[in-house]
Amino acid sequence: MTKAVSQPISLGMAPAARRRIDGLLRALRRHPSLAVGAAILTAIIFVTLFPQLFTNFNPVLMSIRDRLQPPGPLHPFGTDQYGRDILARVLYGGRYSLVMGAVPIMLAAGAGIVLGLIAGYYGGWADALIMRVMDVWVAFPIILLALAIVTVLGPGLVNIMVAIGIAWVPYYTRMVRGVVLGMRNHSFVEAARVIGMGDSRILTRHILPNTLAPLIVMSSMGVAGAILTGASLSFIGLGPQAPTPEWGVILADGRQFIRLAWWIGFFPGVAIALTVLGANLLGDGLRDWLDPRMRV
Amino acid sequence: MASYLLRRLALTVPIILGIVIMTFLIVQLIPGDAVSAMQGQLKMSAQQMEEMRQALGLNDPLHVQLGRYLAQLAQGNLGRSLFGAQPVALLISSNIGATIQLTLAAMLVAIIIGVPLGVFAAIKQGSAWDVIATTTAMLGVSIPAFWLGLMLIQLFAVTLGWLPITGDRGLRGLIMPAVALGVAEAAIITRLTRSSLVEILGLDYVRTARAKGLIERAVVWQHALRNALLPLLTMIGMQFGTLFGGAVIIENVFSRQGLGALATQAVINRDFPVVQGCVMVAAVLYVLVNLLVDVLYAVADPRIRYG
Repeated sequence: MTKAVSQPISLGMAPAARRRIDGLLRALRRHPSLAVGAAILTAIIFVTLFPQLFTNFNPVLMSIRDRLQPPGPLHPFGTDQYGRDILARVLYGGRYSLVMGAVPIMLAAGAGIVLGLIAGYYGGWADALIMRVMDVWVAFPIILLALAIVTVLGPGLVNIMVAIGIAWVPYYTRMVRGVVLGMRNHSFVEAARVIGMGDSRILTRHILPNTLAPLIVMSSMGVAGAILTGASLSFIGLGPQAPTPEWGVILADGRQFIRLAWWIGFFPGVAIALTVLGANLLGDGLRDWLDPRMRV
Repeated sequence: MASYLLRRLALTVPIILGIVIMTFLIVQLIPGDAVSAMQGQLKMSAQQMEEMRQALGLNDPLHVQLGRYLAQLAQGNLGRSLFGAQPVALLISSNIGATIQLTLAAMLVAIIIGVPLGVFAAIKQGSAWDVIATTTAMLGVSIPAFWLGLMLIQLFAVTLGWLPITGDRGLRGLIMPAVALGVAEAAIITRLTRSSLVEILGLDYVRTARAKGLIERAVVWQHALRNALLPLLTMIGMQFGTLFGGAVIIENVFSRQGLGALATQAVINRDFPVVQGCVMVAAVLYVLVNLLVDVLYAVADPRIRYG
């Protein structure tokens, strides 16, 4: 009891949690790109989660009277060919882009972890088979492989997320396998085996945690790449369909009206660039912090 | 050198075979089959669908279909477009040149911007200039190429009228698409050149060059950069696929003829043979470019040849 009193009660935290937070704060100070990236992404996530705090307009409501208005006090980002407010469309559309960045990477990381663990830990023919398939897989440019998969599945938000996810699998598999190969013959894995621990327990308890740092770093940059690929695919009409206010879709509108209204395409592009910049900076900072050996 | 080449070539053959099999299998993933997927566009009766299946050989077992596909490929036959019935090989060969041209032009833009910027950042390592150069590079990888393309059109074609709006008019028409596509790559090359040069500038032979009184410019450009650029060769090979894929999108932005327009239309029409052909050719091209890079690497670096 007396021990508890000597703690700074006002914070009400266990020492371990406080140490972790202190560590995080120190990392943010030491790696500015981590701090800037996290700040940009947090701001974007907040704004896209609560767009109604920043605009009163409905992103899909047409108002032909207000069509193609340049940016002004009422419509800070202007309006499109149907008189829809671009600011509202960009703010509401953010959720699609964020989801389009996160979901494929989760799919790819999930599949890559399983395949990479099997290949790296068991070796032999399983490794040979998986890695030869991956060698072939990476030969396909991500966008073109995604195009082929969208042809098979048909256009749409869910399908392009699946397509991008599939295209990213080999990168995760290769990375996880690399880490596992380095771990497999470490004495702590040997020790676990000697005391009779099963393979699945060794993999999940001892090996998987070691892949976490490079996984987080790769995923942060992967999200940036997936957002760009997703936006490109929906820009050419293969993603969510109009009137969905997805950023790539708005940009496609902007392309049609480029002679008349630069603002339709300008603002969603800035939004994509900012989000991708945030994810890239975060990834860069995380790499310097968690895994300095990976520094390019 | 000859044995290295042979070994490397032997590794390439199974990968190309794998690419062919994988492109074949992708189409097998279609829920139902290709004919029922086309039903939406063609409005066929059940009997017509069955006849089409028969004609396309879709009722045969998978290995028979694969065998037939491989035999056709061996004769340079990539099948026919489901719409218009032109041979896919002809469609691709008449469009791929423009896409390769754009890809190479973008790579050139990337090298012209990226290498000097990377060298500059490395020489000024740790200074404000370094921060500016690396931040610019970070910004460069984050900008969507197709958006940059639109903004270039807005500025140089619509507002200033200096360049043509579409990308089909000779060399002048190539400038904007190549810049739009190359900027992200330039950013990657900047980062790579910088980190590689920073490492090499700390090596003993560079110190020797400085100690014998060479001016700094000669140390950097003649002694250090030559070795620093070796990883760039690998990077160019690896990024070829990314650029080629990006070219597909950029061609759409600039209404430029090429594989991009062909593939996009085929994806929208669900014209499987055309998509299959485009994807396969792109992957094979990527493998061949990397083969070339490896050979060049062996020429440039004797350690690889004899290693």
